[in-house]
Amino acid sequence: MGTEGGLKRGFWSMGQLDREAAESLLERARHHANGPRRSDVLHGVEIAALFFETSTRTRVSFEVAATRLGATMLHFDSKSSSLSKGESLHDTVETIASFGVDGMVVRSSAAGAPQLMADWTGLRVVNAGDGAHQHPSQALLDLYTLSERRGSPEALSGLKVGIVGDIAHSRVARSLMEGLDLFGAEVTLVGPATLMPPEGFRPATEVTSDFDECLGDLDVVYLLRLQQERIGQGLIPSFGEYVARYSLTRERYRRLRSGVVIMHPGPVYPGMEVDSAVIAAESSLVRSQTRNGVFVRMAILEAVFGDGVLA
Amino acid sequence: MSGRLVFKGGLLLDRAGIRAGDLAVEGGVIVAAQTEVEPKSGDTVVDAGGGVVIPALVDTHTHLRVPGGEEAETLVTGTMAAAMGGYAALLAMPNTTPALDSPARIAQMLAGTVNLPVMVLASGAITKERAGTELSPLAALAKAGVRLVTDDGSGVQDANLMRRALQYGAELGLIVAEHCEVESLFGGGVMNEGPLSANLGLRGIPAVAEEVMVARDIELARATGARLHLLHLSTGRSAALVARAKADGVPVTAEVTPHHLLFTEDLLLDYGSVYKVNPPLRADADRRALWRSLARGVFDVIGTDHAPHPRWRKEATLDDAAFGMLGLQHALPAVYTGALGAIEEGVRPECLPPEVAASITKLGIAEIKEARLGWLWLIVSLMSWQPARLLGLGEDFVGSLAPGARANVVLFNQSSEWTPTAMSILSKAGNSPYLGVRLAGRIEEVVVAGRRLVESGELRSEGNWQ
Repeated sequence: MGTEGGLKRGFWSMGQLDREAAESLLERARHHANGPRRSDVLHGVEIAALFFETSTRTRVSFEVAATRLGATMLHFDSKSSSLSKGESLHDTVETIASFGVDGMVVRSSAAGAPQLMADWTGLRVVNAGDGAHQHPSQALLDLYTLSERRGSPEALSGLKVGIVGDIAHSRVARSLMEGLDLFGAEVTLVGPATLMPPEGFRPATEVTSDFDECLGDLDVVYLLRLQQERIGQGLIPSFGEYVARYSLTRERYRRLRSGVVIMHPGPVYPGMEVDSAVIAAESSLVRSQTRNGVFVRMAILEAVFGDGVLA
Repeated sequence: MSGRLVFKGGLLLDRAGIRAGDLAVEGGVIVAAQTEVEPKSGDTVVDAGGGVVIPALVDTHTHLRVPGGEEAETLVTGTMAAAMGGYAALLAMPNTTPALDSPARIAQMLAGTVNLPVMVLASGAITKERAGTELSPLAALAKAGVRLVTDDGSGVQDANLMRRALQYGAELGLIVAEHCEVESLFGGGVMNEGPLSANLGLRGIPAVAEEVMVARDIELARATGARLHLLHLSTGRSAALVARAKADGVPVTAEVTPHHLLFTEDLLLDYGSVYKVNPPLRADADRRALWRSLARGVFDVIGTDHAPHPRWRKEATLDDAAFGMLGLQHALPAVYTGALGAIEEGVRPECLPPEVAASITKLGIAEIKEARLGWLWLIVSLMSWQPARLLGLGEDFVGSLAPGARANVVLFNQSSEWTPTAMSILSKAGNSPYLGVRLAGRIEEVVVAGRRLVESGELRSEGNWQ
C-alpha cells in the first residue's frame, strides 16, 4: 500500500507504512516524549472513540494522547448503545458520522472493521485493534520501546526477536512482524502448531514449537497473552502444559543471553506466559511499553488528523 | 408473436455437436434448423452472426428465498434474473423460512410460480426444518413430485442419519444432495483458511471441512448403493475424491459453481463482504484444479448457488455479513470467461464425445476457436441438458435444436465483451460479484416455451411477469 497520501484516510494496518513513514512516526513520538506536555496542534478536532471490545490501557492511552494534542475525544459506550439492540455496525457508524466528528478511534472484534468504517463514512479511522488482524499502535510503541533501548531504530537491524505463544489469534503479532520487517529484525515464531497460522503464512519466517531450543539465540523475547478459551477449542490441553512448554519461567530466564529484553503487550497474566519475578526484572520493558504508548499515539493522531506531518 | 422467430447466420450447438446454420421457432417448437432458413413475410429475423444458438439453461441450485426471504428476492425478481441469464427452469432450494420440508409448504411456494415464464421446480429438505435430526416425509415429498432433497445451507452432520436418508430416498427414486460441510471443522470461519486468512486476521474455513464430508458421503453411497449428489464442490481434493469414486462405480454426481470457477480468495483483500460465500472462494490452485477436473468430466452440472441477500445483511464486516452471492444473471458469461482463462493456462476439454469433437473439427476454424467452442459445448452441456436430466425434466425439455424440439433456446454472443453494472441487476438484492468484472460472452436472446423473454440483451417486460 505504501504511504501515498500519507495516513489521511486513517491508519488501520502496519502495511500502510514504509520504513521512512515508520521512522517519521517514531521520531515524532520521541519529540513528544521529550517536548512539552501539551500542545494545541489538534485543537478543535473531535474524535469519537468506539471501543466495541473492552480495553483499558489502549483506550486511556489514546485519550491521554488526544487530550495532550488539544483534541476532544468523545466516548461512545458500546455496551449501552443500540448495537446491543440489534442495530448494525454500519448504521451505528453512520449515525456517529452524522454528528459531524472528524474521525474515529476503533477497537473491534471484527477484522477489517476500521477499514470498512472508513470506506462507509469517508471519515478518518485509527485502528486500536481489530480482531486477529492488526494493532498498529501497539507495534509502533513496541518498535519505539526497542529503539529506545537499543539507541536507535537502525539498531533493530539483525535483532533476533522470538514471538512466543498464540500467534494464530494475535493482532499484536501480525502488526509487530510487519514493523520488525521494516527495520530488518529477524523474527522467530514460537508455539505449538495449533496456535500457529496456516502453512504458507510468511514463508521466510522461522517457526518452531521448541522454545527451549531457540531461547538461547534470542535478543528479544516477546510474550503473547493466552486466552482461556483456547483449551475449550482444543488448541492446547491445559494451562499447565502450556506453562511447561512456553512460559518464560525463571529457569528459562537464566538460560537467555545477557542483554536480552522481555516484552509483553499486556495485560500480563503472571505465572502463565511469564513468571512474575521475570516480568519485574531489569530486562523487562513492559512498563516502558505502557508509558511509550501515549507518545506513539500522539504521533499517530497527529499524522492522521494534523496537517502534513506525513503527507 | 405472429410468424416465426428466425436466428440467421450463427452456429447451432446442441447435444449432438456444433454446426453452422439457421434456426426458426414458432408456436413453442423449433420448426426449422438447417444450413439456411429463408425468412418469410411476418417472420422476425435475428442476426445471429458471430453468435451461437444454444439450448436454454437449467439451474440446479437457486436460493429463491420464498417463503420468508422476500426482502432479498421474490419469485418475480428471481425468475427475471434467471431469464436474463438464459434459464428456462430452475430448482429452488428448500432452506427457506419455514423450510420446504413438506408437500404442503412446497405446494404453497409453487402456487406462486405457475404463471411465470421460467419454470420453477422445488427441492425438499432431507430433514425436518433442516434441523438434521429427523427425516422429512420423503415418500410424501417424492409423491408430490420432488426429485431432489437437500439440507443445503448445512450439511447433514449425523452420519447415520445421512446413511438412512440415502437408503430411504433411493427406493423412492430421490436424489439426496449434500452440502458438504463438517460444522466442527468449519469452526465459525468466514473465508478460505490459508495464508491470506491468516494475514487478514479472519477465521478460516479449512478445505478439509468440505473434503471430510465428501469422503464420508462417498463411502455411504458406496455402502448403500444409493444415488448421491454433491453440491458446490470447491476444492481440488474434493474433485479428486469424486473422480476416484466415479472410477470405482459409486453412483455419485457433482456440482461446481460459476464463482468457484472464476474467482479466488484474493478478492477478499479489502474485506469486501460481497465475496463472502459458502463454500468460500478458494486459492488459485484449487480454481485451476476445478478446471482440470471439469475438462476431464468429473463434474456433472454447473449450478449457480444464486444466493441473494438484502443490503443490510451484506453491509457489514466479514464476521457479520451473510454468506452468498448472486449468480443467475451472469452464470454463463462468468463460466465462459473462466474457460478463456483456462485455455490460456493450457487446459482443454478432454471429455468431449467423439462426434461432438468431430463436429467442431468439421467447422474448419483455428485451433484457438476450436478450443473455445469445445469449452462452450462442455459448459452448456453442464448448464443445460445435464441439469435437466438430473432434475428429471425429460430428454426433450432442452438439449436438441432439431425440428420438433421445444423452443427453449438462447442466443449467446461469445465474442461480446462487457461489464455488468449495478443498474442492470434484476434480482431484488444487489450482492452480485460480477459488477465491474469484464465478462466474455453475452446473452442476447432468450426464448422459453416459444416466448421471447430477452430481446437484444434486454428483458422484455410485456405481460410476462404480471
